Amino acid sequence: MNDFETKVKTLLNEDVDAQVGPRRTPPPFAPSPAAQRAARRWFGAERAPWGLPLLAAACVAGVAGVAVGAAALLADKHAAPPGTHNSGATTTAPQPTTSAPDLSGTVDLGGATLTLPSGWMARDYRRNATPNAPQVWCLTPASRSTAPGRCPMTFSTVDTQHAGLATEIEGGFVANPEYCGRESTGGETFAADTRDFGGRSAQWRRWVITCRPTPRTWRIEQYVVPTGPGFVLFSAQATGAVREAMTSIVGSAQLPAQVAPLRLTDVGYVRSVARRPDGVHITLDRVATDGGRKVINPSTRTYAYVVPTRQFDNGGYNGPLGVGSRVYIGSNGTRVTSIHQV
Amino acid sequence: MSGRGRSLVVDEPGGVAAPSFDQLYQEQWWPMLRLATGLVDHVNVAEDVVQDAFTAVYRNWAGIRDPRAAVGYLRRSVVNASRSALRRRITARKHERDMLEETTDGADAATLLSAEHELVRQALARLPERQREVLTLRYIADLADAEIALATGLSPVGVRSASSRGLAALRAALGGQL
Repeated sequence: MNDFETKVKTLLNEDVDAQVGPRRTPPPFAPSPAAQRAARRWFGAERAPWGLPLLAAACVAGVAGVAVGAAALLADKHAAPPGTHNSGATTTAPQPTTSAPDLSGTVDLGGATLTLPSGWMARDYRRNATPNAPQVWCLTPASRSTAPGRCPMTFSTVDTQHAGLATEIEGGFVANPEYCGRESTGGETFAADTRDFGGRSAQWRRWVITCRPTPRTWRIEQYVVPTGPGFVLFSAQATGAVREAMTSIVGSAQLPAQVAPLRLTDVGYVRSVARRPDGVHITLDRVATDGGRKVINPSTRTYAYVVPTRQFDNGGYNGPLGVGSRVYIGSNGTRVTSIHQV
Repeated sequence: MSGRGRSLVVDEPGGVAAPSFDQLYQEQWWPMLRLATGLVDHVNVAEDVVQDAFTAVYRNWAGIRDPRAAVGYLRRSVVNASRSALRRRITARKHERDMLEETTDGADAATLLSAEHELVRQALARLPERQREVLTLRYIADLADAEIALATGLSPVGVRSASSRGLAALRAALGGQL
């Protein structure tokens, strides 16, 4: 590092230190109540004029936590100066609940009826049992540890108030795991399909990620039901018995009926644009994409959306949206709530 | 502090290491806040970004199997959430321009930073997204090229390229003012 770099580094760190102040303990980690506040603000009357564009970005950036962020901005939760956070805070983590018994056989998980393979069980990972809390179950052979990080397969519910559902990202939500840790990715394959999951249309994705130099391979497989109520079945160890179990569970599942017409999340190319009094009418050429590196577009069929004009006009970050733009669309099931160039 | 918290790893019988989400949160919140502040240039937004990132990790915790991956996973989430925060800030500013006069810094802003800090900050802010991210990850988080590649999704070659171009742009922008 030469003198110029050293100077730049020093100044940048001093700048950051000046902004963040003295080291402090983290605030309480409680995503669910904040997510509910966010939902109330964004979908309610208190919404600021830029709330919807914020929501658009939030849906891309993901998980209910993004809602936490924007809502916090709107709510001016940062009125307290640095250092006033509750230092005695405890955090919550998705651990098995002590009250919910392990389930086996044919089970009802968040309204979905799943038949687990013989010897398998479902363990509730939900800890914060508020009505809108994310529900996550570990599906695993009963003989296997369900300690965090050991679960071979998870099943999650998604409601329309939780942004961040992402069919194109490993795990089904916006958060891209680093399967190779500090190692580099030596190779990656990607496959996509639309499959039936308990009577509902699901987006199936498979990634095979090979790490190097350690010869380790992750076989990721997931089914995302992208309409409300949404569901995600996910495994990063989709081999052998786990994959067989996954196929069996999908094949025998019964999911509740779709309750709203629009997908909660969609990705594709804009093929037509028509401005009308009720919004911008677009047709979307849906694709499957591996973070933009690989695009699978098996069909020329398009899907119609009506996007609020203001959101459409502010949806691009390298220029206005138009025919040919690749976009992410988020909805609450009945209307588009976000559109964002990706 | 970099994101390499060794104490995240808890020894278990059989030598298998597993992180605790609580430990991850307690130990990594501060370094991630510093990183996010460098990326979004606003501590309040950075706090939200970090919360977003932890929420993402929380949501996927059951699927994180490799304890060594947890910090990298989190760091990438911070980078992704920062990108989104900057984009929604751009969007919000478009609306603000439509409806409000441009906001100005607080009266105490000038006392917080010297002219040199301001120069570097502004020059960095004008860099393309990838170059700015790479330099921030290198200088604020003290990461090596391979780790920056993981956090940004760039190849190691791309990281080196973005770094050298970013530095060259900073030199040109600062024009010997440092």
